Amino acid sequence: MGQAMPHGAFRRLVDEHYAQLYRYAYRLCGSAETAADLTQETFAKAHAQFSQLRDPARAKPWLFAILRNTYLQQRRQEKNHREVPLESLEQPAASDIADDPYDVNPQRLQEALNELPEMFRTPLILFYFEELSYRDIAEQMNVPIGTVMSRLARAKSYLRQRLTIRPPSDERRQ
Amino acid sequence: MNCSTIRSLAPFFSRHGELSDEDRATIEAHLAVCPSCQGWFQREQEFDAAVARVIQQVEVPSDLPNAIWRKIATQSRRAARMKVLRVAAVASAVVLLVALGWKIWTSRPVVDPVQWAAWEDQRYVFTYNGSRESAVEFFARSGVKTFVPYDFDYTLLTRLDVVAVEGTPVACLVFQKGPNRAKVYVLPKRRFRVPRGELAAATGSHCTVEFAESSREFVLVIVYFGEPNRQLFMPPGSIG
Ligand SMILES: [Zn+2]
Repeated sequence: MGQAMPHGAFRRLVDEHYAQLYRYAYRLCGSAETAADLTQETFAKAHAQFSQLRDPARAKPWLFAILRNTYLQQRRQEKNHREVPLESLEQPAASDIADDPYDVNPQRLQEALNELPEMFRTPLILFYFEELSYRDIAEQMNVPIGTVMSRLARAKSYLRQRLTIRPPSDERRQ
Repeated sequence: MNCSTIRSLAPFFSRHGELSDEDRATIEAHLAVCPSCQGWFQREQEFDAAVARVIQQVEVPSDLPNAIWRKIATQSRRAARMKVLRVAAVASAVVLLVALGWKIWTSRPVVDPVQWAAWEDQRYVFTYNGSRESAVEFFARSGVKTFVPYDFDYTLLTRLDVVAVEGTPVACLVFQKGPNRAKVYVLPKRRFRVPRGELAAATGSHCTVEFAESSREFVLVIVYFGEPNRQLFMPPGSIG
């Protein structure tokens, strides 16, 4: 309202990115309702700040960054989220991929994501989404690429361990 | 490159555009000769493919685009309202500031020559009329409890005044002899602290200040312009 804004350009932005942003939001928070809210909020902010987007080719990382910041802001207000302690996310030895069978069960996958601290969850999700380059991920998290890669390796190792099928006697998690 | 370096590059290897052709060739050459890494890469890729399939499987609500546009519309309306409120707030702040500025500007004290002449008349003591008694009467009329010192030649008195020193009204007498002037302030001791013992003197760039004991209750501050000589201003008979 009142802003001289190419309406068509923003409509294209919504059409092109809303689905992937929603998927990212869903994997971040694990709830369909919150994910929808986050996606709407992201576009509302993007709409208000559209003039700040200098390079239209950078729209995707820009939107992902807005969504992540919105998520972090909202979560800071909640405070009661459960995450695994960082110590249990050890750097895996490069040789330790066991040949154990695993089952990528959707519910277990989301549970494992929810347990990861966000600083590990985001690199993992964005790695599998293949939407952003590693440089974009590093930029949006404001850390060096090397840090992103080591968090990714630790997160992956945790995920693999959570999805591994163990014999009932060895089952330590419910 | 050793096996662990090669393996740490796996996330770059599995993506287009994240590795230089050179590094890609190096990794491929290593995999060709290292069955252990080859197996590792294959297991890693299988796991990644399996996770990727599931992690990307999120059903997007069909009315999400509409919800997004509704949200944007609501927010734009709110932003417009906020803008109106902001403009109104700024405008009223400006009006308030202008009014306040005007009030301060117009409430400056008025000075006019008639009043000024009255002030001067009240304070000025003609030299030929100058006497200690006229000074006593002047300060009594001004409502200042003070002491009028004796050992000055009151025929040299040119001016009497009440000045505020640190918020306290203080009697001020001005004596003039030729080019030399002495300004005498009478400070009540109960309102001012003066260092004990020898009363000090100081020289400024235009004047000399001397503290003198006058009575039990008062201290004189004598400011000399010209020659800093107390005797110049003493009654003729007292000069020894
Ligand atoms: Zn190797």
